[in-house]
Amino acid sequence: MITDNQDQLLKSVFAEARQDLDGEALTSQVMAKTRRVLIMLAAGVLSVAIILVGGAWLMFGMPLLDFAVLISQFLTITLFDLGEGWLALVFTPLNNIASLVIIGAKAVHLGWKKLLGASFSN
Amino acid sequence: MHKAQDYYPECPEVFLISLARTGDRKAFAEIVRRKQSSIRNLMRRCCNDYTLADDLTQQVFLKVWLGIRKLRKAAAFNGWLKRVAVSVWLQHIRKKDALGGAGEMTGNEQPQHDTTGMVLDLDRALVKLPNNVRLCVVLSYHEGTSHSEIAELTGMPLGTVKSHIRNGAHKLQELLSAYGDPAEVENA
Repeated sequence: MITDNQDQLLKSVFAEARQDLDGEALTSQVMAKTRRVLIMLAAGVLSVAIILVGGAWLMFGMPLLDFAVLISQFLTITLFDLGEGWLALVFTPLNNIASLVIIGAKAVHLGWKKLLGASFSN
Repeated sequence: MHKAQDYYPECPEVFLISLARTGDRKAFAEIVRRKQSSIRNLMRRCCNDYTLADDLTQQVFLKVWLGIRKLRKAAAFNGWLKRVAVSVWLQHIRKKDALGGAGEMTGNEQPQHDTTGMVLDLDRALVKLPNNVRLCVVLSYHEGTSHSEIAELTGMPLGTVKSHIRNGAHKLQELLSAYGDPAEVENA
């Protein structure tokens, strides 16, 4: 059985053994390790992202490219046959489905704004 | 012009912990600077090998860095740090046991350049205790941790912790009997 005095002795021996240690070297070593961990984590994330993007490209890349080609072909279909003269050349930027879509969208946008402006004025 | 980081050495601990939780490495470095002495002392008492103690301390802070974002309350940091330190030490013991070094720690018998005779005697006496007993004694006498907290930290039943501390303290008292009564130690 350990007495109070003996317990006190042990406590004082442990208190005496506690040293105030200089921590500059250890701190810089710890921080160097945290930097290494961060770099490894970033490299891991980058590798996973590259694998995912590469995999997605292999799976969906070609169908997406085909789809984009189809869309661009559809949008460049001419609306009116103007022949092959200078008139056709002048109107080429406007004489297609793409310009029709853009003009239509702009008209809807303006109409919507007008409608809202009218309802606010009422 | 002074940067905010220049004032970190004077910052309250809770503030630094909150900054470290957001990923501020300079705030974390300041925490390491403030806490390393306590963890190194704990590890030194546990293993009596100062190089190993420093390696384990680095592991502790690396784990703390990786987990600090998950810490909910900055005020709970010190308890959590102690828990991480104990878990690193227990993992080290288990690894050592798994590798076949199931015996007790032999310790570093070479004298450490910055230690007093009494510290060496204490560390040598501690090495003679079984691993679990030593851990309980160190946590109780060195860290001032309560018995129930030791049971929680180590995962041992409370009765086992109490008996480890009682037996360990008795054994240590025998080994350190040369230091006589407490008054002499304080005057030494």
